[in-house]
Amino acid sequence: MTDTVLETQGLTKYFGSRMVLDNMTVKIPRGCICGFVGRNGSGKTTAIKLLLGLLKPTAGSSKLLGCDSQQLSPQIRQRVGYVSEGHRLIRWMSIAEIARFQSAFFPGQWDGKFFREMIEYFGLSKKQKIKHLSTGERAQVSLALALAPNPELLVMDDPTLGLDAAIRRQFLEGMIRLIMQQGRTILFSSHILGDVERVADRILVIDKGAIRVDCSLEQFRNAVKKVRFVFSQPPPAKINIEGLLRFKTSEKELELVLVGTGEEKIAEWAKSAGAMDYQPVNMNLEDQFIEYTAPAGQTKLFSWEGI
Amino acid sequence: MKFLALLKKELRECLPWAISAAAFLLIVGNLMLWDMAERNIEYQYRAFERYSDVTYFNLQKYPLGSMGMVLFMTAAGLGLALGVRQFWVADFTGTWGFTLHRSTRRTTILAAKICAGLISFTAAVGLVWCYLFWRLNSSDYFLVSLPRRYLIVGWLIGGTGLLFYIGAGLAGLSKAKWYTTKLMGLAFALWMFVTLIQQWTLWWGFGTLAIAVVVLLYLMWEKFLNREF
Repeated sequence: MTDTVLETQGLTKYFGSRMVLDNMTVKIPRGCICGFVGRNGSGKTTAIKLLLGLLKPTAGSSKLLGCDSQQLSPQIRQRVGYVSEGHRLIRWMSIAEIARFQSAFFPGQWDGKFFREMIEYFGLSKKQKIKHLSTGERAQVSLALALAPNPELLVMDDPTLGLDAAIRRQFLEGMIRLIMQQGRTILFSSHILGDVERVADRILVIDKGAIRVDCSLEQFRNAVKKVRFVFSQPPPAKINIEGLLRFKTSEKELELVLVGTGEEKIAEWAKSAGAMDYQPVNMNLEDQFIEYTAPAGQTKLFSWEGI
Repeated sequence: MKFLALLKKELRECLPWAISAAAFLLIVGNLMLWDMAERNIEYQYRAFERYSDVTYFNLQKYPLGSMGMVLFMTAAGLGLALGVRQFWVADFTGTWGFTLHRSTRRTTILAAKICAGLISFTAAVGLVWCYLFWRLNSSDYFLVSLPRRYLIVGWLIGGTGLLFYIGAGLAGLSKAKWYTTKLMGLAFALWMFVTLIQQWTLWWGFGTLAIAVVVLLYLMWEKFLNREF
């Protein structure tokens, strides 16, 4: 058994002349719960479709469970669960029918009892038609369908998109049930950083098609910092500190967003710049993500002066 | 097991269209039979027994020509509907990912689709035409019996619907813009249809149909296996 469950090497995709994925090289080890985050249109869905062999790369390659994504055998697909974006299921089927359909592809692997339990846990009836379900209910059915065969690798494309807080929590608890089983690997893309923070132990940040972060969640949390410095005079115009991502000045304050800058370096810089005091600003994962991926020079979305 | 699951799903999706086409053909066909009987058209049939040159092309010369037109319209309509249902709709509903991420090969998925299409087609057009032919030959309407050649011509007419089925499917699989090459599959099907109706003998007609179907199926197989979804 390979220890790397998912691997890409220089994976690149163009749609016409538009680059959607740029030289993506990552390795995801077995047992990892990887949150794949990025803004809208950053290339998450394209990357997932390339991994599953639904799209062809312009350059580079990817492997799933040791098998080239473009040549995924039925045996490999049987070990991979997939929840597509928007939970697109066959609308005319009832929950029982879609479960029967899905189970045919996992002989000896489909756990009907687990599926029934999950459907009951979500408060759904097996007689309900997919077309009559809400987005949240479809998400629950998608998750149950993907988990019942007990996949080694679960790939989910923005599974909590459009779900309310209660359903999202139920959905994440369903995911956690799988996580609790040893050796399972999950890759899930999401816009909701709170979800990533709750379940992931590794984070992949994609921005404009390029992987910007590939590390443990803890490393990312420790690396991206915002520090507020207080000065007795106007802050210095030139800021020369390692890892500076962006800064914001006010009359006597300066706010720096830093990446990978150690405490000693910050203290050293504060002293050399003549700061009276400095304090780290509390940031949750969402704040860190926004600061990290915000386009350079973009400080506000609207300009009131222009209205 | 996997193929059967796929086949059942595809058959269920084709079913409403097949039932509609079969019902249309049955109702219109029976009305036409009734009309022929009312107009006492039997005397024309007496002469049929010596005709042996009836083909697709010259069918219009015979009293059954209008029936042939209904058969063609039903077959072409059903072909287009099934092609669109099986190969276009998933693009709009976004279900290709769910359909294709199966522990089976793409060829099996395509084979299940085509088999379901052919079964629906045979049941809705082929069998209903057999039934209508049997009614034509039963004593309820006419005392003379039609040459068996008419049954075979009916199958050929119905078979042309397959060109529209695969053509529509090919067009559905194409990701090109509709005003460029998207409709090439349908255009090719139409061209083969025009070639087909110019065949002067029945067996040439079947030969042309068979070649056209094989070429279109090959193009579809190539497209389905290599397409991005």
